[in-house]
Amino acid sequence: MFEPLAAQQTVGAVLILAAAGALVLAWLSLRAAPRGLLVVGGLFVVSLSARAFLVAYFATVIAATWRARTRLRRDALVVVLGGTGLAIGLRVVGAPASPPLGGPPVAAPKDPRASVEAWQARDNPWRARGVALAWARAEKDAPGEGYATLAQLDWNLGERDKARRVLQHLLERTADRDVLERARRLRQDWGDP
Amino acid sequence: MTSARTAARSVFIVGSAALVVAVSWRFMDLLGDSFWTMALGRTILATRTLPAQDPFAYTSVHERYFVQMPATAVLFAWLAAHAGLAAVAATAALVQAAAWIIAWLGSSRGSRGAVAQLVALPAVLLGEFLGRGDLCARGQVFGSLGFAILLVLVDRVRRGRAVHGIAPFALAAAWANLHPSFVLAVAVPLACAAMTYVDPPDERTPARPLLRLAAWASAGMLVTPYGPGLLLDVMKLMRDPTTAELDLFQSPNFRSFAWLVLVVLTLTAMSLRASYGPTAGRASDVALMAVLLAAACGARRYGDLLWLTVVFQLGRSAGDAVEGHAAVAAALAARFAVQAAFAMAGVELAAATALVTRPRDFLFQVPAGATAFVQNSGHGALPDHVYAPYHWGGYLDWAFDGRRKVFIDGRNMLFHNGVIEDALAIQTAQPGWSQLLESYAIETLITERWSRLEAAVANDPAWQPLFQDERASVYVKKPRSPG
Repeated sequence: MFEPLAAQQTVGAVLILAAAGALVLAWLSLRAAPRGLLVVGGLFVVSLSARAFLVAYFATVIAATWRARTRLRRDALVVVLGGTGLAIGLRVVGAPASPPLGGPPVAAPKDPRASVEAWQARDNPWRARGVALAWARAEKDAPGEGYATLAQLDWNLGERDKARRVLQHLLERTADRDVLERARRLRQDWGDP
Repeated sequence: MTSARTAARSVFIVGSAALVVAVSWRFMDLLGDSFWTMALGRTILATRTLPAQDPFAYTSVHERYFVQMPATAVLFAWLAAHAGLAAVAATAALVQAAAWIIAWLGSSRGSRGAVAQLVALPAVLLGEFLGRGDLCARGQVFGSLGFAILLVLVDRVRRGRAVHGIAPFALAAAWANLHPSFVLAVAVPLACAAMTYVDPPDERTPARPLLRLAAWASAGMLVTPYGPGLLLDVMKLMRDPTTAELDLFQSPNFRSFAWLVLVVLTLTAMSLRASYGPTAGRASDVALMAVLLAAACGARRYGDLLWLTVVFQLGRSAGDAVEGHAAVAAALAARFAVQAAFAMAGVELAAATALVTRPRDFLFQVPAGATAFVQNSGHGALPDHVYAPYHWGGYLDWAFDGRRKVFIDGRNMLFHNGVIEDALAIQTAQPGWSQLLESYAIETLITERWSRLEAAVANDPAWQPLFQDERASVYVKKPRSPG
């Protein structure tokens, strides 16, 4: 309630834009009343650092605008209110819809294959490699698709020695026929070191 | 005006300008952004072409790379190569100071110009001092200069003075090659044109010259090596979610002294303008400041644009306010102006000399020792990949000189694939930080001294400390079994 406004939150940005629009209205309404301007200015400053004061700020501006309504030009009101509304609309529409992509991997993904594909689709093969690494570790002594995926990703990233070591481990220990076939194909494609 | 008063005013202007330059020089630093800009320019100069792919980071997105400020990159690299880092800092300081001086001198008008300059000067110095934390040799200084020139052009147009189309065209063309904020060259005149409708019809300045200004600027900003492609890339950058995550593009601390000073000065300038000066364009002047105030509330980056506008408007309105009390002002001027101007200029020049002659260390903000150690630890180079925090990556771009690729640097638009969030998670040692380092195949760490990451790494037996100075530590991963 008493925290400062922050434009990173959509609500905060909307309130900041509305407060700035209200400031123009207040200045148009109170241009001949320095004390009124002082009060509005003070409330504006305080409202930015403690949002609870926005209620008093907006109430003061509305009261000042109402009192000066006969003096205020209609097109000025249209421009200020329209401009503020447009800015708020653009901010709401333009707010990033997607959450941040990254962040620490606090738990192993439930579907590592899908997770690898998702990171590759996001153009981050290194995070895909991280998922494959955790996947391969989870396979422990029964290396399977996780190892094959890790080997392939390491190779694609230019980590050739690592890729060959992982592949060798896979060729020696896997019991999965499909994975073994895939590993053999990879060895054939990569050739001898 | 007598010749003595003319001379006194000239001396005051020169002394003040020298002080503004000296303050700018005193606080001008070279940060990560300065170094990746220079590294990029060095690459362009060496290859004589603009890179189509990112030449520095191994984690960046695989998209076509647009060099967003090619002229700044080449200029800074050339200066660094031929005259050293001090020349880069000096040039940036001069450009930043020029922005302040243009706004300051632009604020003086008519017979009360000296009053305007006298009132606006403290605001200039305060703005420089309170904004010193963000001051750094990067394209942004050219953005500030472009904005100050734009303020003057827009003001001339609004007062009915002629501005040849070549001026906004040239401004936008230069600006587009120096900093991505060049979009303002079109946006500000358009906004001013729209805001003329806030003024009553009999106080309205014509909008058409402003639209003409915007049209010329629109044409100018297409004069880049990429044509309109750069504009599209900048629009993408503005909408990129990683931009909103940068410290510079977040709201300022509304409880800080620096913010309080800026907002109080803004409100004062708005009040003065509401009461003094020509009635034409009065409400729209107030509205323009409110728009910039809203922008500065949303992102610290726009704070310096607001400062420049406030300096411009504060001086202007103060001069206009004195017009109403001409007799008092004239009496004061007659008695004190000449002596005071000479005395002030003397003090200013002495202060400027003291500021300029203080020794500077341009590698103070970057991990120069740690990076040199990584390159040659005494037992050869430490293993790839090397981690350094986001704001130090640019220095690594420069120091590695193409020999290694970095994890991340200050070019946020290249890391919208989750790398920025990951870099922040590592930097703040959030749970999972070591898995992230492993994901990115990082074997060597450059950490900030006393940071959360350093504390976490120091307690992790997988990492071995190898180097430490007052700024940074170097850790290398201990060998472990593969797979």
